[in-house]
Amino acid sequence: MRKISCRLLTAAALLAAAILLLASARGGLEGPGADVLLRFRLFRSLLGFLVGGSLALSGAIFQAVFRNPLADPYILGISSGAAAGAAAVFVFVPAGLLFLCVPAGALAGALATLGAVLVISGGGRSADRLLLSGVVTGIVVSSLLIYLISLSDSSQLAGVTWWILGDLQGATPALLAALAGLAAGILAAVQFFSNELNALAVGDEAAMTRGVAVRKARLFFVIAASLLASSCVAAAGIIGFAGLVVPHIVRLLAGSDHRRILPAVFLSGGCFLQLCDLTAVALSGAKETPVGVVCSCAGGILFLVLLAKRRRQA
Amino acid sequence: MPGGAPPEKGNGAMFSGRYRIFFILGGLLGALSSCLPLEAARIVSLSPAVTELIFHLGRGQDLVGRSSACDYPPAARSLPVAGDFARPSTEKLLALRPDVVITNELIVPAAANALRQYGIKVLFLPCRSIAEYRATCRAVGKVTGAEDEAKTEIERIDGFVRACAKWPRLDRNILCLIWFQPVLAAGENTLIRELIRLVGADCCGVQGATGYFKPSAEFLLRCGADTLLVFEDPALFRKHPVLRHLDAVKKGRVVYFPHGKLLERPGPRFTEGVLKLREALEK
Amino acid sequence: MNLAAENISFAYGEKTVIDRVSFSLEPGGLTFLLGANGAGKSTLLKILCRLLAPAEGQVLLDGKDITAFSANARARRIGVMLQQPLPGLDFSAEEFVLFGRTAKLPRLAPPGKEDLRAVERALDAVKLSSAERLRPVTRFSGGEFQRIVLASVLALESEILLLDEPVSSQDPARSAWIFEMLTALAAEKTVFVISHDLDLALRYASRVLLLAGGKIIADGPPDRVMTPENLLKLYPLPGFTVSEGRSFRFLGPRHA
Repeated sequence: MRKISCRLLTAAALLAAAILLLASARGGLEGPGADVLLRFRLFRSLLGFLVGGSLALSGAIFQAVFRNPLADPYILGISSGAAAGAAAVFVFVPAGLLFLCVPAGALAGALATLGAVLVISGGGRSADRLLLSGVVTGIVVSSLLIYLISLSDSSQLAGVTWWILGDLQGATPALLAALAGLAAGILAAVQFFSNELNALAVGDEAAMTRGVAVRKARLFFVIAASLLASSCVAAAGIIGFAGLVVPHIVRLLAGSDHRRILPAVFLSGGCFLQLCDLTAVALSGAKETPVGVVCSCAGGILFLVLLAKRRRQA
Repeated sequence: MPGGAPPEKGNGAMFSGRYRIFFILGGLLGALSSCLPLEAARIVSLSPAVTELIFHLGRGQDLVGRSSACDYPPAARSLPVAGDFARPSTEKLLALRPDVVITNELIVPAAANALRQYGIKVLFLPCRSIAEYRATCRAVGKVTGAEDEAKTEIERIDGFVRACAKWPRLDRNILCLIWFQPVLAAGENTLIRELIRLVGADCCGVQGATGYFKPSAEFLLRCGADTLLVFEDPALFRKHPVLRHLDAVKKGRVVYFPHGKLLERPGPRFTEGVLKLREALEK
Repeated sequence: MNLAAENISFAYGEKTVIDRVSFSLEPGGLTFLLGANGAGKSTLLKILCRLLAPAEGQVLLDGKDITAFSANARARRIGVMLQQPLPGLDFSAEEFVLFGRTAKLPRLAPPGKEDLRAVERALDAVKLSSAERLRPVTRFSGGEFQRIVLASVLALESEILLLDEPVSSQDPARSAWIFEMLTALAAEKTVFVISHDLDLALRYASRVLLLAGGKIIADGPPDRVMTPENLLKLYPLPGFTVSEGRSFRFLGPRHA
C-alpha cells in the first residue's frame, strides 16, 4: 500500500486543527457575555488540541519503546496514580483549596507512580521489566484509589468520579501556555533523538549495534512520554484511546519512520480530540457529556476497523 | 391483641358455629399484621429528614438507630449510628435488631435484600417534592402509630403553602448550585426547585435535566440566570474557572444561603428554610 | 578494516565459555566460525562488536582498543547481523532496512540521496522486489524477514560485517546466491560469518575458525582445517564418524 506523503499528512492535520479551532466558535454568540463564551470555546478547543496531541505523541513513543502496538500513554500506571492523587486531594484537602490542589495532586500522583515504576524496574534496564513493573504498580495504585473512594462522602465521591471522567473546561491562558511549552519542548527533544527511537523500536541488541545507548535512551523516552501523559491527565482528567489509536492511524497512512511522523502524530492527535470535544458538546444539553466517552467510543470503533483491516490483509 | 373471640366459657365449643368466623378473621388479621408494619416498636432511620419527622411526630422513642448524618433534634444524636446516609452498615443494622428501616435512597440496593432476608422491613420514602413529603408523613405516621399527628403535620404544611402563595413575587431567575467541585446544579424534580418557586421566585430553565446534575460549561454560560443560590462560601464559586465568567457572579448576585440543610432536607423544618430563603432573597 | 581479538576470555557465571582466544580478521575473503551449539560463537561475535565486554583481553579495531571509539564510531564501521525477532510495529521493509543505516543517518534532516541509494542497493542485493519493499515486515515469512535483516546490515555499507547465521532460514539455492554476494563483498570488506552449514563453509570460506571448549582449535583454509578429526572434536558425538562425499550444490556463474 503506497503511503501518502508524510508532509501532506502533517499539512492536512495542521489545516484541520485550525479549521476545528474556528469551528469551535460555532454560532449563537449574540447578546451580552458573547465575548466570554467565544473565549471559553476557543480556549477549550485549544486545550483539546494540546491534550490530544500530547497524548498521541506519548502513545507513539511508548509503542516504539515497548515495541508493542497496544501500548498507550497510561501503560505504566500513570492514570491510576493521577486518579489516586486527585482522590486524595478531594478526600483530605479542605474545600477552599480544591481548585489549585486537584491538578497538583493528580500530577504528583502520576509522577510518584512513574518514580516507583522506574525504581522497581531498576531504571528501565529492560523493556519487559519496565512494562511488568508498570502494570503491577498500576494495579497497586488502583487499589489505593478504591480505598480513597471508600473513605469519601457523597460530594467527594462526585468530585472524584467527575474528575476521572475527563473535562476540557478548565482551560486558562496559564494552563494552555504551560502545556504548549511542555509539548513543544518534548516534541523537539524526541524529534532530535528520533533515530534512537527507531532503533529501539527494532530491538535492544540491534539498537546497541547501531550505536544507541539503549538504557539511557529508553529512560529518556519513557520519562518524556510520561511527562506528557502526566501533564495531560493533571489538566484534563483521564481521556482514553486518543493515545492508543492515533499513532496507529498515522503509521497506517504515512509509515513508521519516527523521524518523519512525530509532528503528524501530534497534530492528528490534536485534531482527533478537538473533533471528539465538538461532538461531546453537540451531545450535551444542560448535562455535560464527558469528552472521554466520545473519545473512547470513537477511538474504540476506529481501532476495531484497523484490526479488521489487518486481519483481512493477513 | 386484635382478632380472636374469647372462647365460650364452660364447654369446649370454641370452634363451633358463629365463633368460627371470628377465629378466621382473627387469624387473617394476625397474618396481615405481620406483613404491614403497624406500630413497629423498633425503627432505624437512615434519612435525616425522616429522623426529624419521627421526633416531630412525638415518636422519638421508637427510634433505635440513625445514620451519621442525622443531627437534629439534639436528642437524635444520642442514638447509635448504623451507617452513613444511604450507605448503612448491614452488620451494625442487624445488631440494633430493628423491625423497620426507613430511608430516602440506598446506594447499595443489595443491602435492602440482605436486610429483608433477616425479616427486617425496608421502607423507601423518596422525598423530592411537597407531595412526596405528605406521603412520607402518612407512611411514617402509619409505621409509628402516630396517624393523627401525621395528619396535623400535613395540615400545617398545606396551610403554609397557602400562605406562601399570597406573598408578592420576587423578580429573580435563580439557578441553585449545591456544590462546586464538581459544579452540581439542582434540576427538575428536586425539592429545592419547588421551594424556590414556593418562595415566589423563578427557576432558570434546565432543559429537562432532573435531579442534581453536573451542568456543562456551555449551559452555565448561557442559562440566563440572574441569581445564583449557593450553599457554600461564595468566594469558592468566584474562583471557579467557568463560574467566574457568569453575569450573576460578576455582578455579585450570588445569594449565600448558610441554612442549606433546611432546604435540602425534606423534613418538618423545610418551612423554616423557606422563610429564611425568602428573607435572604428579599435583601 | 582490521578487527582483532587478543586473549579474549568470557564466562557466564561460573562457566568459562571463551578461554584466551586470539585471532585477527582482515578483508579479502570470508572468515567462517564453526562450533557446536552453546560453544560460544554468538558470544564471541558480540564481544567483537562490543555488545558484551570480555572478562579478560581486548578487541582491537585497526590496532586501537575498541573501547577508545565512541559508540557511534563503532556502529558506523561494524555492521552486525544478530538473531532478530519480528518487530512489534509494522515497519515496511524499506523503513526497516533504512534503520540499519542509523549510525550514518543525519539527525534532523531527512535521509540523503546517498542513504537512499544504499538502501536501494541493499534491497537489490537480497533480491527484494519493489512491491515487497512497501510491505510491513510483520507480513513476511521467517526466511524473507531474515533477508530483510541482512539487507539492513548491508545498507550500512560498513567496512566490517559480523553475521550470525545469515542464511539459517534460507533454502539451499538462496543460501548459495547470498554467499556469492557476500564473497564479492569480502574482497574489500572484512566479513565474519557464524554458520552451521559445513558445505557453505567448504565452498565459500577462505578461512575457517573452529571453536571448541572455549578455544580456537584450528584456524586456516577450509580444506586444511575441516578434517573429520577436527570436526569430531568440534561436534563430539560418541559412536559417530564423519564421512565426506556426495552432496548437492547450487553453482552460480562464478563456479560453473
